[in-house]
Amino acid sequence: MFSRRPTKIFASASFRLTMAYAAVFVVVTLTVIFAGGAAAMAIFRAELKDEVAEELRALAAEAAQGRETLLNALAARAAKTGETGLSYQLAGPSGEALFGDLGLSRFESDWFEFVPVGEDDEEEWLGRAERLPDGSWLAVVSDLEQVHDTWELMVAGTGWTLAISLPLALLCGAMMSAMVLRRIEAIDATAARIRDGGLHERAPLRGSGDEFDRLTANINAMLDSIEALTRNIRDVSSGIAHDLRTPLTRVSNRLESLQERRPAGAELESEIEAVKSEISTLLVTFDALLRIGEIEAGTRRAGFRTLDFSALSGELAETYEVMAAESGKRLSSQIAPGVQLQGDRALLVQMIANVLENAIVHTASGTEISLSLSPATDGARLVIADTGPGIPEAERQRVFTRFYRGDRSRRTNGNGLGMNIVRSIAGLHGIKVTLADNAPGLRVEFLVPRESLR
Amino acid sequence: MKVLLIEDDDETAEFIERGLREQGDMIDRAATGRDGMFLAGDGDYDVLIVDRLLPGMDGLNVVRLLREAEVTTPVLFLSALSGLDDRISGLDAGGDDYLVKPFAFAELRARLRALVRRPPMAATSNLLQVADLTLDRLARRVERAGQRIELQPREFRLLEYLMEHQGEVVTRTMLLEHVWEYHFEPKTSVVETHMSRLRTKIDKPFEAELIKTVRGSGYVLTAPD
Repeated sequence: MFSRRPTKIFASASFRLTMAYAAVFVVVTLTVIFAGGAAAMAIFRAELKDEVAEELRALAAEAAQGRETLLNALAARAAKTGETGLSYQLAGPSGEALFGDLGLSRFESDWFEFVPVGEDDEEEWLGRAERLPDGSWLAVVSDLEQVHDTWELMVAGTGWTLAISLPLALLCGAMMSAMVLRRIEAIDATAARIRDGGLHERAPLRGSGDEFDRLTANINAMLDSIEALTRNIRDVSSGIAHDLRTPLTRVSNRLESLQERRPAGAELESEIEAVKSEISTLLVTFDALLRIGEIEAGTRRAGFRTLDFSALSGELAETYEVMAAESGKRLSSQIAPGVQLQGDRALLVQMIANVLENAIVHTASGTEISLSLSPATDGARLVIADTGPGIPEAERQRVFTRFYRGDRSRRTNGNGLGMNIVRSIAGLHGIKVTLADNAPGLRVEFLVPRESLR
Repeated sequence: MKVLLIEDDDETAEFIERGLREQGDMIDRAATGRDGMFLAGDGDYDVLIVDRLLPGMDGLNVVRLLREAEVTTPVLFLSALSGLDDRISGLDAGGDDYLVKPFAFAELRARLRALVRRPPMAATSNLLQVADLTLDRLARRVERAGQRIELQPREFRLLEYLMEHQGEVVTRTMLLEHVWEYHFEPKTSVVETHMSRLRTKIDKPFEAELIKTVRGSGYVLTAPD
């Protein structure tokens, strides 16, 4: 027994599910935060650029009033660098410093980023230069401190977010996987009980109709049919044992008496004939059982051909009209022409012959038997009816079980497999067989569904 | 008739050998597929009896290889496998007939004779004749001594089969398989009843009896001596 021991935590599906859930959660969280952060940063930068551009425009206006005014304005603004985050540099046409010293040497009328002297080289500043009408260069630079601060805040925030959300994610994952696995474990536990011999055990249904309920329902249905098959095999084996014991005993008795009496001539001959006939009955039973096995395995479906069911029924009717007449009964037939179906000829012949033979063998002289094949709305219908004793309603279903023999047929020859073969062959062809009251007599109806017709 | 029997079960092989020797036939035995193939390719046999389940090489393969080597000797498969599929695969492999174990010796003998003396004409000729009895396959017409005889379709087919195998014993099982296409044992005496009706029509009104019952084996249709 190795089923119910707890699995190692790292190998368990529960653990892996939880981890996967947490990993997905972390990845999603980080993606959201960083994507949002990058967007925010882009907006900040755009705002700072606007500010710098605005400052440049204002200073250009001051410069139009002369260099003195510009220098005064620059001095006033540079004093507020701490608040605005803006710094300035004014350079002559040949690059000589006129105001401020940010360490800029080359100028262009465009945006640039640089690391000012003495600053942390990870913190780039953003600026723009403009050439003034007198040929000098004016540069305004923002230290981007706001942007850098926001970024740092965000990184710190992310740490906190993860610190709080990761345990939450693990908890959610654990709960989810526990929910899923509890259902699976219920099925697993049932499987283990069944393996230990409780084939009647079924996995519990929750009634929600979800995927697990459907899985459970399917497994239960599968178990039902396995249980039915097992019971069937058990019934059949004991049926075979009982059915074969009687003729085998008779054979054994006859041989024993032959051994004792040692008869000669005609008596010996007839005793040997009797033994041979007992044995051939046994062989017929074996053949029938093997045939049922073969049919039920479904392998014969590969040999299906399109065949003329009308012609086949007609030929059988012809043969059995003769056989019925021989025993003082009458068989009449009414067969619609041109009914074609997909099937196995040898098996369909056996199916119809078995039913016709029952109608002939198990009825009294004077019985009317009819065979009719007619198209129906849902396919084609083959009906074999007789005016014999019929079968009581309560017994009709049991007729199809292996080794069933009605009280009336006990006196006649037969192995109780005929109708079982009929149903197996019909089943293989998708044909539905029903027994009904012919008032009086038995009515066997075969409904060939439209799909089986050709 | 010279027979090669490829069969690994000694008891079955002896049963068949004894039976055939009593009939005056010659028989060689091989217990494995390999030995059997060697003999079959070499010797001049009228018919081969091949068991399906052989040690080493399975009977189906033996026959398949013989057919590939263009050995056309008729083959009768012998097998404990009785499924319809097994029968079909045997015939597909190049076998000419298939007999399921256990079998009556009379059945085996009748089938061997049918294989060996299969008249080459029967398959192609439209007109079959035995003594004063004629059967025209195309016109579906039967006459005896110039007198037309009306037969039901099934009776016609039964007579046709008997005439195709004239002078050979045909068994009840052979008739069930070839005339009725029954691969099962019917509960009613289908063969006996139809045979008796056929005899009433083609033998009774006439002087000489053409269809004879062979006790314990089957029937034979043959011209009177």
